[in-house]
Amino acid sequence: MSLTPHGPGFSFLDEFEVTEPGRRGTGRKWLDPSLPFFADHFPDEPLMPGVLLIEAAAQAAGALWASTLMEEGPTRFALAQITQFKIVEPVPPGVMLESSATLDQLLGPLAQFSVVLRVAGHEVALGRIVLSAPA
Amino acid sequence: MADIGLDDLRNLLVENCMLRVPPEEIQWDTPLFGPGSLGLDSIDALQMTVGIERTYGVAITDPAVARQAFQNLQTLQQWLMRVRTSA
Repeated sequence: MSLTPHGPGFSFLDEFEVTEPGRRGTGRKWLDPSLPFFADHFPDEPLMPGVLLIEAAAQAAGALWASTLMEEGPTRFALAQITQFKIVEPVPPGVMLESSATLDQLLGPLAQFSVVLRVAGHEVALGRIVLSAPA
Repeated sequence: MADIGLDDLRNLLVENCMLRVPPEEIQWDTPLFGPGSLGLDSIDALQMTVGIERTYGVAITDPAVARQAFQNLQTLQQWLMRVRTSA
């Protein structure tokens, strides 16, 4: 079963592990050099676009939140706010991207998560995002 | 226990919400949500709970409690004083 409701061309989680139920989890994605966005971003120096780093973080947060819900199949959360996000290092193709999410605050259908993205143990991006659950 | 003043709560709004008006225009009875209000939304409410927990050490997890406390800065001050007194 897929970890998120996205199609395979827009999934940034190959696997996801809940490390603290309802609170913390980490996903991994192999950034295959053949992924289409690397061809044009940029032709002479392929890098993962910043917005896709945010997307990877949001998918990890969604997988964590979904793991707390008693539902069959992935839940379609929406990215509601990018509270903070900092890209520390560029992310090239051919690496394993690790996306960790920690639930900070839950209020009704909204939840804020702290997110950290790592490559080979190094932080490449971090921030805080808000997801909204389906009504 | 220190009082919670109007400027303290204005700062809470400035730091945690996407305000569309200058903070000095916000009075004790200015509605925060709904028609004729500051125009805050549910995401601002979530961020308010984060800021309140960080600043005052009080957690709000029940949306009904948030709705009651976040009517205006007067209701928020009264709620904060009450829960801090009973803690």
